[in-house]
Amino acid sequence: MTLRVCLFGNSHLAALRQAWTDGRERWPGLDLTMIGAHKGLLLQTEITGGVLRPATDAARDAFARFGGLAEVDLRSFDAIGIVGCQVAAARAAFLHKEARWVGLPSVAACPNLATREPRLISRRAYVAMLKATLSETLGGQFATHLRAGTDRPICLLSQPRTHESILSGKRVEMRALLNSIEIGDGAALSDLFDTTARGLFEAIGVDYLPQPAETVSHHLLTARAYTEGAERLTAAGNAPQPKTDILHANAAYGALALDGLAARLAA
Amino acid sequence: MSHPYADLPRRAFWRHGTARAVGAELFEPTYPITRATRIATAGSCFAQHIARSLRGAGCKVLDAEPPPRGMGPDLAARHGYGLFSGRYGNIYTARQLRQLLTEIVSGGPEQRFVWQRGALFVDALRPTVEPEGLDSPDEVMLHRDYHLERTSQMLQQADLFIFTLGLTEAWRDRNTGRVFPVCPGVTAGRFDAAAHEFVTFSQAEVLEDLRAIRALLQRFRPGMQMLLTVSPVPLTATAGGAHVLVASQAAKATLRSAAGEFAAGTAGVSYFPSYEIVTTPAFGGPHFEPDLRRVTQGGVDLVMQLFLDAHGLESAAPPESEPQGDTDLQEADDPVCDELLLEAFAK
Repeated sequence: MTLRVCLFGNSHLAALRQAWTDGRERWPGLDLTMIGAHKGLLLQTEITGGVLRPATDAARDAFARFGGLAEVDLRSFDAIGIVGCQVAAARAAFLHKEARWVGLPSVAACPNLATREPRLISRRAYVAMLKATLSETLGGQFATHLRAGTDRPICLLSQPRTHESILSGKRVEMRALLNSIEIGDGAALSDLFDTTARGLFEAIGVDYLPQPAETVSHHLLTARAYTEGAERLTAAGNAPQPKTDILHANAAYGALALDGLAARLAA
Repeated sequence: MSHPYADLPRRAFWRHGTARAVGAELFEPTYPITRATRIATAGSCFAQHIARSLRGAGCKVLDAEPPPRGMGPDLAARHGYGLFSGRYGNIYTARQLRQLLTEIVSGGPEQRFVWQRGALFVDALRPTVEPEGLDSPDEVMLHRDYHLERTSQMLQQADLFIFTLGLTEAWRDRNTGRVFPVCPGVTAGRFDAAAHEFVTFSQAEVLEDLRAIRALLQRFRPGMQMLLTVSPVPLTATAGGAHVLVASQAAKATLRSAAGEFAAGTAGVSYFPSYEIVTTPAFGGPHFEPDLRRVTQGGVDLVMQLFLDAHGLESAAPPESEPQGDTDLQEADDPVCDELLLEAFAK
């Protein structure tokens, strides 16, 4: 039986689209429709009677160019997917920049927390913070939007973690993420991110798919094999990877993500 | 004919000071407060309004434990961040503040006051700052150590300590005399009549606590000024046997008397009449919501306007666009008041 699946996504949809274009025969049980929209355009939509329609000219343009559709009849699909859309492990690391809690290796190693800059907070307060952050992402908002408009199963596929190339330390904006890894908190943060995201989306009736385990490096990063040659969806279409890109994954990653989706939908 | 009233200022006469004009003459600062003054705040629910308004007016309100970046205001308030200058929660009685300061000065907790809430644990001396709780009593104590150290660091910077007195009633541990902000068993823990006792502090006891508080504060920063206010918010409940209205008035009278006597006799200590401004008709009040307990935003604004004007500071900007009558917004602005939890037990 072939499942009709509609995948929505932002720039990270390109990895899955590349994989699908390169070898869709790998997923005989899937029939995919992909609709990409950059930035917050996915939220510029309305759902009435199970049909999702762009509500602005910019969204209409994106739907036409990246999906070839004027509207999406959600009822015609067996399942809906949301790809990336800012549901990223890096958010866990950025919140960790000023917060520590009991159970983290870095806290166990610190004799006097009160003299340090990061604040001691409870793990539950951190989780609440992370939940609030994830719910405000494009993915969080779009999942809620979709859930209110359709009874079809919805899966949200995590955004790929940041490239492991940042280990070189040249990207100052990634210091918080690197620091989380260097002080030994990466594993805990990775686990909390996936656990929190799963709980958050389950609570609104959306299935969460974490990043494929084999693509993860240093707990919070994506291994080089899954980032080299990545394309990304831009306003102008699929764009080749610039040297400075540290966010997008490649077709090999996309293939594994689709494997995960297929397995989840078959379960 | 000469007599003691002949040369008194207009503010001393009801006819001029109250019946015709109130405001500027109501309060004469005994020491200057500027935007550079480093202010610490503590007290009951009403003190949260004071801290917020002072911050809104650009005053330097110290914060021992600011929330980490990324924690939104609602979540922060739910976890006791930003409500006062320390994450100590509501401090309703002078005894509670005295014991907190003593604990800090003595170098940390001498005794573990940990309450259980379901499978989790909370600090009995600030049971609402972790709304869910922590995983173990040891973790509670680690957080308490951290809290005390941070509060100590904050107090060492404070030029002025504003304390809002709220209650005279408390529940305390029979063995140690340590008072709790809420009755054991209400938000967490278990009430045990053999271990816990009810107490109503007398005027003399409050006065003595204020003296001790003053002395303790001087140890953190010599010269630190004190400003006392009395919360106009009535008791949510009384365990003393009297009608709650009678108990409220008695408590406020006791606190008002102690604060006034202490301020009058102590250099560097002043009393600001928040209670009077909110409750008397002279200011167009009483300024209470229909529940006759919560102070209206207008009442809070009036208190703070008079306070800021008295110090030559510009009035706080009105709180961000609260449309009148928008119940949700008004409720969202409610202080975090664990005393309110008692209402859950009202029949």
